[in-house]
Amino acid sequence: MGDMDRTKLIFVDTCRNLVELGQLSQEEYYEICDLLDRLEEYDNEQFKAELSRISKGLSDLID
Amino acid sequence: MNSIEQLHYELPVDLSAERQILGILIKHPTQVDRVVDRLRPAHFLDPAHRRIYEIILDIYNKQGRISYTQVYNRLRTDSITDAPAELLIPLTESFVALSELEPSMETLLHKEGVRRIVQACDAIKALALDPKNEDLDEVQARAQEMMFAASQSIDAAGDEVKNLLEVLNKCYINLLKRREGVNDAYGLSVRYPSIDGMTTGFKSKDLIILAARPSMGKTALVLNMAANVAKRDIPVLIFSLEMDDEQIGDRIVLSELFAHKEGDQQSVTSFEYQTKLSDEQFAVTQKVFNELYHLPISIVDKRGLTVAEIRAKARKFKTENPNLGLIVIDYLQLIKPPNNANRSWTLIVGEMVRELRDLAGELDVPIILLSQLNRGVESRENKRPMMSDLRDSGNIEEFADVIMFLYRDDYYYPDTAKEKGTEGLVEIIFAKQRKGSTGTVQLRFIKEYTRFIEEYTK
Repeated sequence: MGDMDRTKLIFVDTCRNLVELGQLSQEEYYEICDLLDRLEEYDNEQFKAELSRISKGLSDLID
Repeated sequence: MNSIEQLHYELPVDLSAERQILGILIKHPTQVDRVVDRLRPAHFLDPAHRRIYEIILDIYNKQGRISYTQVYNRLRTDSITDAPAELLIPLTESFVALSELEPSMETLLHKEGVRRIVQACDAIKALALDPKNEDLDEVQARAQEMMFAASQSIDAAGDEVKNLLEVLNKCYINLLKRREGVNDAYGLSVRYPSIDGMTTGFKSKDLIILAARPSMGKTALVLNMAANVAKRDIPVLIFSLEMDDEQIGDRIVLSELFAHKEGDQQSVTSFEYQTKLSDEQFAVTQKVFNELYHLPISIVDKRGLTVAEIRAKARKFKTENPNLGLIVIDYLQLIKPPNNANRSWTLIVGEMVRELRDLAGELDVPIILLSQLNRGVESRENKRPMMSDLRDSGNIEEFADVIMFLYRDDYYYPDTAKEKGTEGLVEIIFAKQRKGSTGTVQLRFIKEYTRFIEEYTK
């Protein structure tokens, strides 16, 4: 459980850096945060699909 | 606590417990309900932990979602740190089972309590070593206040909110006690049936004002009541800002001598007590002394006490005598006011009265505060005191739970009183009772013995 939270935090931190670098918009960032907060509602495929909808580039990065 | 933490903070701390609580709260936000009333941000010594706890409480109060991402974003937007992940990742690593919440909370409450004592000790040391603080009594009073405050506030929020069931349970137990005639079901009886009948006993936490013009018998009545209370082994603390301890002692003896007047063959008059006694009279007086020696009455006879000093002494006494039953302060106008030239005298007196009422609440005892009345009484045709006669009143009326006035007809009209046989008759006027009715009862004042007796025992 702790590992998952740590992974989420690292992911959020990475997204935040992408916002700073201009590669992710604020809106996309907050959508991603919301997605992470509701992570347990999605299976792997649904999560990837949702992430891809928010930011195609980020989804490709994870793949 | 490991030595690195001790070295870093120089105060007792358990950072692991702090992390565990924050980790649990972020992961299980519903647990905030269990924590919010018991832990204040100050219970977290680490500044980052304290800030994270504040953020959690803020999100909780705004009914927002508590999660690592939300806390992360708040840490970032509030510019608390450039690297929020570094603060939060250790929390995820220290996550433990929910069952650890309660023990971790206890640890934090304990550590904070110990820290307060350590900090109070440091502050007391600085206070005592400051060469500007020359008045030892003042230093002692402030030191005691600091230590009392440090030991009182631990987990104080726990009993602030009481549900009706709790309250009604207490009321019901009292109802049963009254029905069964248990002594402590009522307030504190002063063994004057007419007064007890009006008040059903003085209630703990109440501030009772006993006011009258000078020489009306305020001190005598309150000493009679104090002796009656102490005869039941209930400790009484008297602050006498006017009379010294010997004067009070003599008054108590004299008053008791009256009780022996009828029973013993050889009576002792007030005059004789204060001059020279025969052998028989001396034996009677010795008997009274022997009866009084064991009474738990304590006297502070220092003039010019401040409310802070009274509070400090009363707290110390209460700590040493947990069953303290009554505090008497004789009298309000002799209490030294705080140095505050910018405020009106009325406001200052009001503040002092409010503080004394708070003290009654804090120590859970009734406090009888004597007060002088202003000369306004004299200028009226009916000289019975009224609320407006309380000198510098204003807030006195507002803060007192009970206001009693003394009035003696023979004080103003001695000849008429002699003719009518009302000499020594004292009206006890209950002008205010927060928990009872107002009205007037009568006692008889035997001035020679400074003794009040029930009128029907005449």
